[in-house]
Amino acid sequence: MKCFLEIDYSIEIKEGQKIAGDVVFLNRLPNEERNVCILSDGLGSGIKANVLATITGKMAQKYVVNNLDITHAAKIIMNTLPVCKERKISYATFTICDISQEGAARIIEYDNPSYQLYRKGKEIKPEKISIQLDRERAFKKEELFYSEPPLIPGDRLIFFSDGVTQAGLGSKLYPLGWRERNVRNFIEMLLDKNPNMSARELAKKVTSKAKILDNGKAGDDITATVIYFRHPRKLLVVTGPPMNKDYDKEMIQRIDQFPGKKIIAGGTTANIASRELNRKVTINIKQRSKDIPPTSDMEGIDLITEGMLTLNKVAEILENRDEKSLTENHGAARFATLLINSDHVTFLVGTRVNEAHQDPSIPFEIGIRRSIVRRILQALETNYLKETHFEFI
Amino acid sequence: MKSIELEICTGTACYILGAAELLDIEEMVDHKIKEKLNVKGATCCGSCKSKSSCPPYIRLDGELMGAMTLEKLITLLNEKGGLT
Repeated sequence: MKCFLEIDYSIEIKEGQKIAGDVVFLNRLPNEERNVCILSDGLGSGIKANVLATITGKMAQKYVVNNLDITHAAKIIMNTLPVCKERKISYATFTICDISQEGAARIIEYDNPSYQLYRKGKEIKPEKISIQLDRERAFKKEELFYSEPPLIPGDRLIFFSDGVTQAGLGSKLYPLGWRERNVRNFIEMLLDKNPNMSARELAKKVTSKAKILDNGKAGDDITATVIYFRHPRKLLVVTGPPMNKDYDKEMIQRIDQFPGKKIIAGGTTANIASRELNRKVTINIKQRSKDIPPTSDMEGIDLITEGMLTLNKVAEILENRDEKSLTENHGAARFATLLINSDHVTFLVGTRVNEAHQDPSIPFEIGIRRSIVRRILQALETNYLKETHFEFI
Repeated sequence: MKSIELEICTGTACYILGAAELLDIEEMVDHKIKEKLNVKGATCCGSCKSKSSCPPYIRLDGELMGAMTLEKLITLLNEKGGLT
């Protein structure tokens, strides 16, 4: 099975700030079979740092997505963006990674801690070329690092800002900060315990640990981005009865035989499955919120939810990258979590019209099934870089 | 002790038109009723789609009833449970 690049990140905002001064931009470009990841750390903290990092990161993103060579892009950024008059250093750092679907990566780094490459759970150090730049007003010679580490299936790349390497600075345990080699020891320990840890989980664990080392109050913005070249985790979502009743049996067979996780969204659809597979559906009246109806269970299916209300909430959660809602105890939270922890997501959408949706006493924001599914797929691709497919039946 | 079987529809229409509140019934009834009460969720039976539909629907000891409210339900359960 063709490998998939699972790309995810985690940011812990500096204590006392409302917005991070570190930014991450991710782009999947399916037509060109490449992916672009940017990490930029702005000088200072809060909104000012965010603006600096955004300007820098956006320039990098636009140039590289539009096929400007990354070294060339880096030089333009270095020559265009100003240097702080007082501190005499750049207004923001950047790391740019351009990686193909086959795992061929090209990376350029400026002033961020070095990225780390892990193979079979151990760090390996790729070769890098140093590019020296002279800039007026900067207090030191500027250095860019360029490398082309080739990834093989199972490899991981991890990028982080200095909020990670300097975590715990001044503490008894790590007076000089966590430092790259201790970060490495931590990651190797995690991968030893769980060799299949997802990119998402690894990024979260690194930033959580760094925040703990800062005694629970992040001393700086803490960011980690992970790229994991892995076998894709597949998920099938079925929602809505087929236009034609004759296809009921076929739809259910596809669910039953699907090699991955399965979700059924909608009572009517769940009833069809129950009938065709001859399995009971039990409703969990305790797993709900005031807006989201209860979930149900059926043997062989990972999650059964209600339809429209749940799907609408899932779309909102994904569009806003709402991490908080994922911990709530209702169908939309479970649904969104399953989507985020998959790599290939397929939606099978039945197109028979549900008369109850035509009831004027139901708020019109519910929308129709197709447009909500489209929103979910769009958010999965743009915000989580998942690979999505859909079929109307 | 005869049990009271209560099924509350958890379909989309019923849920937003009142069933969400009805599902709190166990917290709202007298504890003597609660002991006999067996609450389950039910999937959509299609009554909401008819011209004369009046969600939310419940089934109380097998009998389908629409336009249900928490107050009405408590009254009905009290009658069933011999509290009135």
